[in-house]
Amino acid sequence: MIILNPEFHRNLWLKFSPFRLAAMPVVLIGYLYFAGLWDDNSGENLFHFTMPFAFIVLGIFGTYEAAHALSTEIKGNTWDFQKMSAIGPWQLVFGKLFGATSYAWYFGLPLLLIMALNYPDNAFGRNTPSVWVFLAASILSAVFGHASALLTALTSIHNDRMRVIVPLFIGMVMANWSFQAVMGFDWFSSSGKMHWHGLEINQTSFDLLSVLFVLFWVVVGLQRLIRVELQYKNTPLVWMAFVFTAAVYVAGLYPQGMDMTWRGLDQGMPYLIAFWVVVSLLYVKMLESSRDIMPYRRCLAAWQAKDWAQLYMDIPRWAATLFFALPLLVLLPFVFKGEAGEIEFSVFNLGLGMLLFTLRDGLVLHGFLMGQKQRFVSFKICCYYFFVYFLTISFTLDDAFVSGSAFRDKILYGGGLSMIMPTGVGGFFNSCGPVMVQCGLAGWFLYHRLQRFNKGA
Amino acid sequence: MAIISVRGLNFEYPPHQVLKDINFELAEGSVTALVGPNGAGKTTLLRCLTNLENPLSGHIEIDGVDIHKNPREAHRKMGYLSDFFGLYNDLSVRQCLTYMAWCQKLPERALNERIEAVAEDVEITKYLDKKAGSLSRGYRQRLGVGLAMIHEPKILLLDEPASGLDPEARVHLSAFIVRLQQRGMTIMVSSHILAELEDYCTDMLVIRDGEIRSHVKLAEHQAVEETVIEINLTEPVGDAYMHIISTYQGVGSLQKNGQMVTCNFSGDAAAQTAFLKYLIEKGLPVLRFVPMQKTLKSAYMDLAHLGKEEQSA
Repeated sequence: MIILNPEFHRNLWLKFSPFRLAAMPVVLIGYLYFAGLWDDNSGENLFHFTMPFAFIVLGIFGTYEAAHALSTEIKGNTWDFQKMSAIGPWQLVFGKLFGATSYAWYFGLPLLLIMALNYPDNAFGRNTPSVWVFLAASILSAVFGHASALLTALTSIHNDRMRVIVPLFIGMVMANWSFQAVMGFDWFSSSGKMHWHGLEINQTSFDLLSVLFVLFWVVVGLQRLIRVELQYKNTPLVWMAFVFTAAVYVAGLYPQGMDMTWRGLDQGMPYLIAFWVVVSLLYVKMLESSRDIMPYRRCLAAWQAKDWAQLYMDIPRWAATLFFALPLLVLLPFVFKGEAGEIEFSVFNLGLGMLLFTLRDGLVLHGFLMGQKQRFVSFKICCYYFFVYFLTISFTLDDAFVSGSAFRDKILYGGGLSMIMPTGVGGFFNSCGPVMVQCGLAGWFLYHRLQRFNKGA
Repeated sequence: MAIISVRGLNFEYPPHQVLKDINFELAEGSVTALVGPNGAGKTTLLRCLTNLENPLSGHIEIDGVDIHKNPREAHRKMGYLSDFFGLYNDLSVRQCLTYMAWCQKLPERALNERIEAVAEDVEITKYLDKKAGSLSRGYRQRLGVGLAMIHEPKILLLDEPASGLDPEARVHLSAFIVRLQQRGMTIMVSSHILAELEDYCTDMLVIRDGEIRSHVKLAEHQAVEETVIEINLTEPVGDAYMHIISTYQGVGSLQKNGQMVTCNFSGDAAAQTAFLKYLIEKGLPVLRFVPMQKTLKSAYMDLAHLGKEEQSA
């Protein structure tokens, strides 16, 4: 699939000039010669010398090449040719992912081989995994970093300033995270076992599978974005499958050695966590779609034309996410077996509060950002979050701790806390009333912005 | 039958409406000049025709295929060269063509033949093994056209193909477009330079402020009886001469400039001969009498003039 791929082939033509082909063995032999001067023949030193070198080649250079793959197409005005051609999205994904980074692999794979041949028993401390795990983690992490960089570059394809630096940074962070996750950094337990939806799994296997899971979705995300660029129609189904699997994956991590504070709630907690994941993704999609009014207009045009197939294709992904959020919200009170405690708490109100706060921020950000030029967007988002989630919280909690009962009387039951975050405490109107008012104001604000926008203001 | 059909096309760069209710049809084998001032929406219209830009509403059919519903199928029927087209500078011309042939999924056995044929078509055969980056602007443009038509599309859309080309390269481009037209290809060319479109265009679409102001079929336009006649005298044109010319039946508006008079004249060739005879009989010292064919430029200027009149009204 890769060898017969035109995009991969083109990259090989570009990356492998005779000089570059010859440069790798020369540099490698030189490196081995100098490394040998300090090596005591145990191989351990060679392993540790080579590790940063391999990181530079695969983790930094490879990620840079991946991040750069799209920017060169756009700067060179060759992107239109590709978009108008008959090349398929998977061909472009694999061609760019492995073609653009082919020279880094040409250099990096021999380095990994050197490290594998000199792999010490205690390379990563007490719980050093086998050399095969090390190799798998290294290769997976590098691919993951490259894919993340390419994905970020694709999402910021129309933003000149973010095309290389941000994708490079994100790719490096992702590669580093996945490598550390597998190579013995015990995130949840030190027993070497993980619990996932009640199943006991070896931690290393679980970590490797987790990286594979995320990598899978990153590559699918790449393919979906490339499809959009190649003018294929994307249905919301794949996005919904991602939301579903992400919610199931994260919910399965509970309770993972946590000491349960509210023992009666543990049966419902995975559902609440799943709901939280769904609402978070809903939030991200709302933020992402807040700048561009065209998809909404297209939806409206499809609705007016009764073109339901088109409407289904164009439906904002945040709206598709509601397909999971709303049933989970209704389900929450039935799966939570909370005991009547000192505090009046409703998990339904908590969930509804989360949704309403998402709606509020979505409406405000749509009002602020709709049709805005890119350079103002980040600044406006930062200002909004600073105001809403820093200043307001600071003022609200200002007199919360004056006396022992002040927090409870003024903030928790007085509606103070529910003005700034979902609480689920103190009945429906106390916990959801303030945010409903805010939603109304945000809706009014968005309506007036749209009115001005339509007049060309 | 129309090979390109556009109905009710609207495009917005919010809050600006760039294309407003565009409607037109182009016949198979036509060569259409898309003309209009800067910012009129020419490039956006071409990009909407290729679906590289997603319009707010409207319907575009390319050889019977709805481009919004089946863009990939429509792309097989069309080639597009943008004004700022790019090439892979570090690849050779042959590699560029091979890559595009692979991307277009041309059958492997016919690949080399097709590459040679395209190279011959655009006259870059002797540069096949040169790096694309080392070519002159004219040859880069030829390679760009070659890439756009490697899959033998029925329609070719060219956005400002002549900009930056030297006179020789422009002549080559004109000849090339004429050759493509003779093979039955439908071509749409946007340009500012009307004189160069003259050689090969059959139609002209005038776009202004995002609206199609006119769709002129040049053959019909040239057949209109009113002609512009340039009359050169051997001495300055005085009031008496102007009176003689202006009172002749069929003469419309006229302008004098030194020893030359330009006038609009309604009448066929026989009427023009009679007019010349009348001038000589009246004693005008006629040096030249030249009925001008209606050109693309004159057609465009007529429309522009009309547009101004509409605005002032």
